[in-house]
Amino acid sequence: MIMIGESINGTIQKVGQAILDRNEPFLRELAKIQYECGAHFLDVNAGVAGGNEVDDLCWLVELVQKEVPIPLMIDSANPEALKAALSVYRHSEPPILNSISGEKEKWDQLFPLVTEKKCKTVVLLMDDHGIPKTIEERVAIAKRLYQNLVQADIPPDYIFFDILVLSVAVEPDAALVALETIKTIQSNFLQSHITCGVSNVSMGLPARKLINRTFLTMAIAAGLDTLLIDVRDQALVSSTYASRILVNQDSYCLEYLKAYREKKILL
Amino acid sequence: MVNKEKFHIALSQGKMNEVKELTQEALDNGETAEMILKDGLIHAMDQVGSKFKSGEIYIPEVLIAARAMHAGMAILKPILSKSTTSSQEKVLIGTVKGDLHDIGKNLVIMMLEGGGFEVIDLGIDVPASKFIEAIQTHQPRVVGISALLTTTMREMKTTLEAIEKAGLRNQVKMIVGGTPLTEKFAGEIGADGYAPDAASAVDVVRSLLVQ
Repeated sequence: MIMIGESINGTIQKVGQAILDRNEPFLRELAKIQYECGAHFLDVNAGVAGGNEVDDLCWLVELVQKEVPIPLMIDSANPEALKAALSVYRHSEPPILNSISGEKEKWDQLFPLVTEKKCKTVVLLMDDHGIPKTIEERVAIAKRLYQNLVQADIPPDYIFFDILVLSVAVEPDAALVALETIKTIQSNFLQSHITCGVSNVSMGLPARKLINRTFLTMAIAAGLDTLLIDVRDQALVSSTYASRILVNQDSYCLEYLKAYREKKILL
Repeated sequence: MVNKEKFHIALSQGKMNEVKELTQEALDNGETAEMILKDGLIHAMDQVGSKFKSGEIYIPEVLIAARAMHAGMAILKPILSKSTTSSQEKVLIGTVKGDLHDIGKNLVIMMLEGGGFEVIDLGIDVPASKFIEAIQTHQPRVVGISALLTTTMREMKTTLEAIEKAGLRNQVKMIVGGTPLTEKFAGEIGADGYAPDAASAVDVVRSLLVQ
């Protein structure tokens, strides 16, 4: 199980403002607390209206990597920003690039970057025709992109397939489709990882945290192993520890017991 | 007289058959299709919209109401389309190129249809050229563009400029929306209107059409 702290994200209003203001103490604290909550990676996204994403992301990467000893997930829809941020990245372990997809323009810009820097990467299961309706088509895209990456010497476990999740408020079977996709991708790519934007699932409903963590439990059972979440949410993290022992992913319940002794488990 | 209260109760509870029956009953009693649409369906949907806006009800409840509204519309549409005076105003809508988000956009569509508009949905990841083509084909009075990412917000400006360049800007009112947007940003890129949420989008479109 890989836990990635999602909170340093410029699209969150407070964080975006801190990036624009170059508010170092605020962002350093945000990095530190996520690290202390057990994050294995921190996502850094500097996408904020009114900023210069290339400069902002570089600045943010340098700030965060000075503060915490864990590798980063470098997150942007702008290939130029990703490229610039990778050039200032210093950690000895490779970062996770978020993200590459089958869209030709994006692929052509980012594939050379991933192979040259030997990054881990999130792979979106879509191409120039958009997001496929059927699971079979998504698997076909996954296979094609996987082959290209592996042939270029990217190890299979450097690949993180991102499963698109829609809101159940709008699409009643959204969660079921996501779970089915997770299962299918997992069984086709045993050595790679699977991640998804969990919180989409509850968009438009009240008490979203409850829905999110219930879905997360189901998704872990289906094969989700990389969690891009608010690691400060103790109830959510506790659920993941419990889920993992239930699907026999936490050998002898050791991680669960460790978390319990560290008082990280919330009933 | 159309019984507004009955329509409201049936529609807000998502009772499709009841809305159909009420619609048919009103027609049989000699009400015009226009009146039933306005005082029955749209009036009820407006109330649903304002409850959604105030956080009293949630998306699935708006969905069932919209579904019930469609059931009533199915009866009225053939009658309405015969009378030329009541042709529905058209709104064209889509999410900009590079952006795949459609939840917000679809809610806006639902609320607009609930408000009595005919909506042409271009879907997601829509390039400026497709907006232009659709404006030429459908001749809408209002065009709505959506973006959910700070990176694709810029594409809104590109889309507006392309429509201007194609010489179509004067024939349409442009509205914009999406989570990262602000009224200020909408003004800066030269949009005619901005709505912070789906229910307000209907008010914005209505006020633009009065102008």
